[in-house]
Amino acid sequence: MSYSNTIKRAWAGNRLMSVLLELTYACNLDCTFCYNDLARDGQQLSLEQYRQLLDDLAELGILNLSLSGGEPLAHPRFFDIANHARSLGFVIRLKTNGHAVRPATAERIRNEVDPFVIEVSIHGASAETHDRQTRVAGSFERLIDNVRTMKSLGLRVKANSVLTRWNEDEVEGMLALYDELGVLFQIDPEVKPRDDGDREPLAIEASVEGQARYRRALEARANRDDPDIDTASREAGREPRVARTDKHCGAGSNNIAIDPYGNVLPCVQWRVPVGNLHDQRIAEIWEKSVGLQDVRETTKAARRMLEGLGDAAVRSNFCPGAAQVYSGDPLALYPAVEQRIAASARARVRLAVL
Amino acid sequence: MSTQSQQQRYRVDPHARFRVMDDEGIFVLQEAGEVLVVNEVGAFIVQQLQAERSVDEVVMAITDRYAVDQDRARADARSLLDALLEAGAISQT
Repeated sequence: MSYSNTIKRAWAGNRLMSVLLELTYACNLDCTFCYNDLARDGQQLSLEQYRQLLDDLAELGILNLSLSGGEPLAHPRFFDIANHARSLGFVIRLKTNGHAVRPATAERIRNEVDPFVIEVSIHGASAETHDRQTRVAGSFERLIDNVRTMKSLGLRVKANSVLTRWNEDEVEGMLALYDELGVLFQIDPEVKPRDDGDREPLAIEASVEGQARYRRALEARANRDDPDIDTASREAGREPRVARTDKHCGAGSNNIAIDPYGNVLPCVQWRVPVGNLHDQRIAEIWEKSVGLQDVRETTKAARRMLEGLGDAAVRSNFCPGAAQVYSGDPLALYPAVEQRIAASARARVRLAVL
Repeated sequence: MSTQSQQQRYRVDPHARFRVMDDEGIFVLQEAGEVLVVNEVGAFIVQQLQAERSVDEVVMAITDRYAVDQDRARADARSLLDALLEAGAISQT
């Protein structure tokens, strides 16, 4: 039996498997392209509400729980929430910038949270590039120290990076750094607008040449005969798999996100609230939200739309949530996707010529 | 199988996470970074272990629920438990 089939069935059957909690938008760094809508306001969920939510999620049989932010460790009750989550047996992913994970905190995370993985943000292969992004001097050196500490404690670490114009010239160095640190990694080749639609971060999106260089670097790494490279990392250099379902993605079907103010979102990218935990319990939202039903139908429409445009469109990593942020229409193609479809078409032409 | 092993109890290993999703069970092996999926009967067996039932009691529960004789149920349960033990998904209590 395969986990990918389990996920496809969850998409089809609207079986909630994964929940991402944005615990706070507070942060100890000041990243240039931070996507959080920092102007958003509301009544923060209390510790009691988080406990109730986690109990409800366990009752629903949720497997995966991501603790995110902002910077989740900046939440004053982070360990209370994470401890409770651990006691309920979730597979916990901690998404942090890593800045605050000094040795004592790392040890506490290991002992009290026991996460499946700690995902940290690495913005380049050098202090100059990383610190330029975080706008905090010394953040690179401190992060690398912290990652080494986490690894020495036996914690699984994954580097999350976004390819930008600032780091595209050192992408080979980034891959080498991940390997040297012994961490899993994921590089998002696409800078996206902020959650409020502000396109300012796009000013540093990677160039076409930078994207090509990134793909070549990934391929070279994946093809390297190096026993130290584990399978999970090799996958990062391969074409994305296309799930055989009638939905384009699992947004609102097997995963949701919840912001610090209790807004329930179809996913972390798709920022249209479909309910609020101040008004309803999560099970009721999951079962009855009209907004969620719309989202599920929209992911089917997205699938049909992309299939109508061909394989390149299906494989273009189109994100309805990003489309929503760009234009207000979750089915509208946006520049990065159009570029990928066009690049795929050019590659096909070259193959035909050869 | 010895009487002792029939009375043996197992639990989901502290380094593993387990959830039943519809008609199958999912183990996430935290240290290995792997996912293990078991079918409906496997999920049922693990749920019996979580209810602190012994191997004998698990076999009885299987025969109560499924149209299978005791020898077959015992052999299948033992086979699954051995595989889960080897994977680190469960451990002895």
